[in-house]
Amino acid sequence: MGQLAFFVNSDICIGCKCCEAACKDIKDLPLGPRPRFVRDFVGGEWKVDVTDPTLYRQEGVFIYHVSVSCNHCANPACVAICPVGSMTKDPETGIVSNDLEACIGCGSCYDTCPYKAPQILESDMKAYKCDFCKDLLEADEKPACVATCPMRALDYGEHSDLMAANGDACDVAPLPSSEETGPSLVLKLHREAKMDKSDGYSTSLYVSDR
Amino acid sequence: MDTKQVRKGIEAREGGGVSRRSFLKWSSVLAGAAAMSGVVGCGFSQAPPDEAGGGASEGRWVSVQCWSDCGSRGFNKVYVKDGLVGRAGTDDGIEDSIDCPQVRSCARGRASKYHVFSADRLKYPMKRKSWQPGGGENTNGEMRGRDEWERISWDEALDLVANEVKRIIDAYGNEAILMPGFVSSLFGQWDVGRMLNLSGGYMDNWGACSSGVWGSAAPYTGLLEDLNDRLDMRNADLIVLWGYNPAWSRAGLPTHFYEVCRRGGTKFISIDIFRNATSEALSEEWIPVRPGTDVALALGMSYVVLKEDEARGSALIDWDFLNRCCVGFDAEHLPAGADPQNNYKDYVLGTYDGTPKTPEWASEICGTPPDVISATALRIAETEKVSICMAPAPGRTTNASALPQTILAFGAMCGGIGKSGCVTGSDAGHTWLMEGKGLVLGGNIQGEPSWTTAGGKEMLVNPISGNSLSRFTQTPDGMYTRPTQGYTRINNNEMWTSILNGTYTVGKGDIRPCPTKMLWHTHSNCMNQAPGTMLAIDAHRKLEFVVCQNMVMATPAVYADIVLPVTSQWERLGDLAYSYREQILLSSQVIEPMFEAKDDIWIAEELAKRLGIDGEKLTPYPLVQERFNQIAAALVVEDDGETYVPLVTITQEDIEKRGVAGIPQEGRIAIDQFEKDGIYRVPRREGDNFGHIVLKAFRDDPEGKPLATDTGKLEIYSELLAEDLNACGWETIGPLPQYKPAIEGYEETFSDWGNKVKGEYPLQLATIHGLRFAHSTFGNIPMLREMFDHPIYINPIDAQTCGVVTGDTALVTSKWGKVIRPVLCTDVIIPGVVAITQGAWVDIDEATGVDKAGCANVLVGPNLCAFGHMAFNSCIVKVEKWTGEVPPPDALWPAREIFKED
Repeated sequence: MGQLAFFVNSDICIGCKCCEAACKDIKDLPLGPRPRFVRDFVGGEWKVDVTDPTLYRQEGVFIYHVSVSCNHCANPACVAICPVGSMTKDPETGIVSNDLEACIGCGSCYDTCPYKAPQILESDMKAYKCDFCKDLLEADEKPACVATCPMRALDYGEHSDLMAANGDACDVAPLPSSEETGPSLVLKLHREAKMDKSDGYSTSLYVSDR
Repeated sequence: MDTKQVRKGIEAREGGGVSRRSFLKWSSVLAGAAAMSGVVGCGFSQAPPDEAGGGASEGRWVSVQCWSDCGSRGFNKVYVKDGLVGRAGTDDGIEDSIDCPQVRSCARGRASKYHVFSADRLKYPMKRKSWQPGGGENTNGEMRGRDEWERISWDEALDLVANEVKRIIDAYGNEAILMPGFVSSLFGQWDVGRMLNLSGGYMDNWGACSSGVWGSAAPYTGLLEDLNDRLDMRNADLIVLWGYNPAWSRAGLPTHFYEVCRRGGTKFISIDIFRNATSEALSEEWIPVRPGTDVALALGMSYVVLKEDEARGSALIDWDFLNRCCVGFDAEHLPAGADPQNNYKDYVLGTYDGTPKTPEWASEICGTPPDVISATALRIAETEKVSICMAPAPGRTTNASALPQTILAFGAMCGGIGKSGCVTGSDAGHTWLMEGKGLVLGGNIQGEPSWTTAGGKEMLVNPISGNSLSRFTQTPDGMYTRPTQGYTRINNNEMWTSILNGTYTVGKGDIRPCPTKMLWHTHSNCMNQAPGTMLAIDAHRKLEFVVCQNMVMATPAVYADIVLPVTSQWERLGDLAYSYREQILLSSQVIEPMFEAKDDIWIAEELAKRLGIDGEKLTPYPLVQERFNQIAAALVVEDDGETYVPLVTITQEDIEKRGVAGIPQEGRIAIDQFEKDGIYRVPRREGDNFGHIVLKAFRDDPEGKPLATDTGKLEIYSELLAEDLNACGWETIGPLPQYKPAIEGYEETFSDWGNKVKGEYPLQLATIHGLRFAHSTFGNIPMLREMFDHPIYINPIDAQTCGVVTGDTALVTSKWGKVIRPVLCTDVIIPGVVAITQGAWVDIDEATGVDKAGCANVLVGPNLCAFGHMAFNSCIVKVEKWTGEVPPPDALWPAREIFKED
């Protein structure tokens, strides 16, 4: 088996966060860590009509969502930096996972990951992240997030297969550049997708690091 | 500060929002709070009935109920192992396909376990400390919502309730007991309501909640709360989603169904106050419109189409349909005796009133640019197969009486009625009501049997409030239909004012003294979910007795004198429930009752003993028999699409094993298999016999298949509608739809409309369905609070005027109350309009009188209109920066845990 990857169809994502809920549930996480996180990106503007000062016209107002977890990168920054070696990449599947027994919760993986995929739970000082639901895969089930998506906007498979079917897009605002770590992520971009972070803004009130 | 900084308020103010450090701090706090609820940590909680004490065993999936009234219905199950509840799951019993999709759940359905095991589950019967029975000063009513609680025994609690009920009935009569239910009032109150119906009844409420004016007014026009079958919708070239955001209001399958249409080439446009999540996924175009101005927009579009049709030699409008099937479109098609000037076409053209309803006229009101109105109207009219799907939201306004007729007229003009790919109407408020008749029949709604539940107990008529039979279907219609002669109900909008002002409206010129002395809260959180929550609080403090039965410390429990803890649906036997028209769900019991919680029916039975009410009539057979009867009575359609046969196969052995009475029967699925699967789905394919096209039979043969309307045709002009609506006593309309400004609508945001000078409340407020709550259900779940923000949504232009930026806390004030909320500046909402999701549990700060939770109905008032529907989208407010103490993020709020566990 080659490198596993997620496919995210941002064009039909409604931001309902079932994937987030399923992810937290399968990992049995309390408040705080959100290993899969649904980003939103909003933009456009309103201009006063030239003839009527009470009338506003929208110019290119858009919103779209991108659901991202750990991307099981080709060059995982978390693996490189982990001081205790608890973060490892499986040579066969490419799955990056964290050995919770060994993890000391130092947060260096969180600090270095451009996607902020490893999430620290302070109550037990461990980094929680997507492990592709490998236990479910072994039991012939789909990853929890994929199995629950009401829009059928999430899928998974071998990275090469997903790229062959959907192209190789993995950059879009507000995600960080893929150059650094080589994410195993295949995006179908929203029809109003922007590449530049300065073309819009994210609106999660209490999360500003993603 | 420019609008860009306003949008990015957090960064602009603090240079970086929430740090990981503070994020971690919250998580540790909540980990502690959640651990108390028993869910987190080991990941399993509470023993199920048949596995308690079992050693290490193979786990199993149990199908469970999600009982919220969100308007949709997903399939939920939980993994149970070694006597504990683990992870949540959803439908994976079939291969997912577009014709036969899995019925996947939503984030809220998944969160049900946090609800069942929440820290604020009511544990014991409780009494408010300073309340004493007997009425008078000893009630200390002013202390409601401020008092302390004392734990009492079930016997004490039941004796107190029974004695107060007896005293109040003896002194004032049964009508002194108000037991409000919302959707459940449509079905006849079950449990304690049924008990009172056996002994003189109680005062029920009436008036549409979710349907707005659609449920009450649309039947007079012949336009149904119904859409074409989902497979037929794939034939549409263009679907107009008007005020319609199923991604938030009907979580689950509906948005996926529409996305399948889009894949096949159907185009979508959305008309709404914001670029909503559904439009984000489906629509190529968003047409912004102000709340409560949809009639003006539809009139403006009608004008454009009429004028263009004239220019094209009558080639644009579907005149054939208008002439054959509609009443009131033009002077040639009016009922005998009607004023020929009083027709839709001449009203739109301004022939007699001197005001042509041009796009410019409409634009001044609705905020949609005139050129956009014209282009949208033509696009709709020129499309061969066009559907106009409107949610009930635009009908939840104070000026919505004309809405169904106007939408009917516009849809009919554009050829959007009664053909494949063509439907004009509302989505019915609940997905299981739309797209035609159910392919599986039976089951409960929201955990309670209804009038349509086969195999249920005999329904009883409330001797006080009656059944309010619908004029059109002759079925009980207590929500939408004014009480029948000889019966009485209090309208939702007058529930609180009647207590405060002393009178309520029975009909035009029929104002009566308010009899209410006692409130009995069951599962309708009406204090929180009906307009005028501050009035509700005042009204509660004037009453002699308030009792509340609930599973959590929801708003009515806070303001009650006696609180009775009830079981969640997971602690009951489970039930048969509708899903969509193709699926039916069978849930099972998951756990034993928690703490001292009891079923509602047990409470009713215990009170019946104390009140001398016949328990045999209350519960003629045990619950296990009732559940069995419903399963046995469920029906499924045959391939012909007409014949219904039993769904479930039951053998003599099945009957004996369950210890019930019954007769063996042949069906599609064995009862044991059904219990195990938890779901039955009717397979679908293109070309099957289960299709449904609204009004097709009528369109094809209007004389042979007349409608139930007064004239048998679609009534753009409806004398009967005007007569019945005016008889309610709150509004006066004519038979022809006309735009009129809303009470608390856009026009009222100005002190000087002519010169466009804004007044004290310059912004319109829309109360929207969000994903954190299903109405007020799930309002106590920290996990959902963390996932879904509950801000005041505001356009950056307005935010700048109000002096707030993203991340600030705003004080939002209407003439009815004040709330504080975090500000979220976003361009997806039209300027001049702010929005808040409805459902947060009101939490009044006693020092300031301000609601910290952001309960929408603190702001929305009980304005009286039409058939007394609740007009949640007619409200005007001001927004300013809050200078007081800022509460922590909602996810970190403490649970309403009155007593710690023993």
